[in-house]
Amino acid sequence: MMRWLFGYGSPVTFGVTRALVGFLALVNYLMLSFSFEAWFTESGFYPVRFAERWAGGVPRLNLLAGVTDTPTTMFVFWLGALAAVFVCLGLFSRVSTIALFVLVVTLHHRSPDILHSGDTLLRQLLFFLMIGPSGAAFSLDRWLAVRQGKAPVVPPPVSLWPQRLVQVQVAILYFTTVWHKWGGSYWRDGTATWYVPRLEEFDRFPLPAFVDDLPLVYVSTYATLIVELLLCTAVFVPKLRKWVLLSGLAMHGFIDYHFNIPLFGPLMVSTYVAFYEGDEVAAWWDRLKARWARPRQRVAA
Amino acid sequence: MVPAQGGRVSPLVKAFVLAHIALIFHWSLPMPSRRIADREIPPTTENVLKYPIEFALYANDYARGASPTGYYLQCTGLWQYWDMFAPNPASLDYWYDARVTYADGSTRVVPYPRMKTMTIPQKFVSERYRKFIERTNSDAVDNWKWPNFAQRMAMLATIDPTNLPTRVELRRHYRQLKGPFDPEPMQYERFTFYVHIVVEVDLRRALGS
Repeated sequence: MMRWLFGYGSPVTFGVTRALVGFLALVNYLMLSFSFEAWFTESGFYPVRFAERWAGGVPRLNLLAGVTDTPTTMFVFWLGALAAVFVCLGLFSRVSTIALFVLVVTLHHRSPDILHSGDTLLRQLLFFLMIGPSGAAFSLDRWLAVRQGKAPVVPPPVSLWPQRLVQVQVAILYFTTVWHKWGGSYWRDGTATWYVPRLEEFDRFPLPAFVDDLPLVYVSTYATLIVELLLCTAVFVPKLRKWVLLSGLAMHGFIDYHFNIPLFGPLMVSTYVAFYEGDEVAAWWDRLKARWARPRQRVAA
Repeated sequence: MVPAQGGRVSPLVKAFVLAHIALIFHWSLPMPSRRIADREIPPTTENVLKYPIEFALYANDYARGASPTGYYLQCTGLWQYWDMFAPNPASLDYWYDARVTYADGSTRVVPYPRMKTMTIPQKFVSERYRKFIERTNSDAVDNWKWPNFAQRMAMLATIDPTNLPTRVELRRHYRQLKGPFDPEPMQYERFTFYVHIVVEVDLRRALGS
């Protein structure tokens, strides 16, 4: 266990995770920008004094604490979006991941009543990226360093505990959400997924009516619990990993298609790459490149 | 999956990683059931042995509230709780609007952004409106947010600066889903949950006039 948690290996996986999370953080910023005035100004639904009351006297990381000036808040907001671009590209990775973590947490502590679980997950992932070697591979930092002869072509091994923390975080998330659900009568009696499609505020794309009716409701309720349970247990078994992650992909794909819960699914799925070692991801990428190259060679011939 | 070669990780880093894992697990565990939390089932030796997990959750929840380690997660933004659609998904389907009375006595219904009536791209960028009313809906816990909510609706309802809104009624439209074995209510009921007399000076400030 300790060897797994604190071993050394390729930084490629963590670099890919950084790029995915940075991209999704940027998308999140762009989506929030449409309603900036409603959530982050004094004339909006959530003035600064609300955040102070929510904090309950506990000091919170919040660069906007007490800031009622809209231009300053807007500057901090767009600075975060810029940091997300840098994180996605892997430019000045250490500084940009620290900046993005601080700015995202600031925004969350400024208006906590509009947050969903995707936001909570985003904060955790940014923390791991900030403290780990997230720019050591799959980044502009590394590309520039290799070009200038300052880094070897094959990235040297790094300590894997930040990547392991992503895995453990995801496992804890799924494990405790199953535990939470098992405390509810609707999940136990198999009818939980009957309710959500009938909450009209969650509507996104439609499905045939029978999908949301009995007896398929029993199937989707228990399947959700089983898949979530597998995603915190069997996912660590190498032979089962691929199938478990595919079932997670299918579950989040179904939820994201049917229900309007922006970014939670993509963020969850973006963490799945962390369950693969860097060498596996690099080998997968090489195979993909070779597969793309073959038809081109045929066309050229 | 385990990398072949090893390296040296500082004992301090190891301690930090292990402590972090323990803390996020501790913070993410569910609350105990209400009958335990409310001491309907008192913590006698017999009951603790009968419901060991429930009482472990009770102890965990107590520690969560009392322990200074909570500051580590709360201050840094690492707080977390994964109760998506749990312990039960919501069974109350609801949306808001506001009935606004103007200075000249006329009235108008002003909608609060409702997901159901939006296009798909709008839904993507506006979901926070739904989340916000989820956190504003409790009559017991959230009523302190309502005056500002109503004041904001007055601002959105302003068309003519010489005929400002004077009164806002916040209305909840709702239907209670009883489950798959009961008929699904098709009509929404309406309930005025808050009446607000608009503070004109604040409204003018918000309007920038």
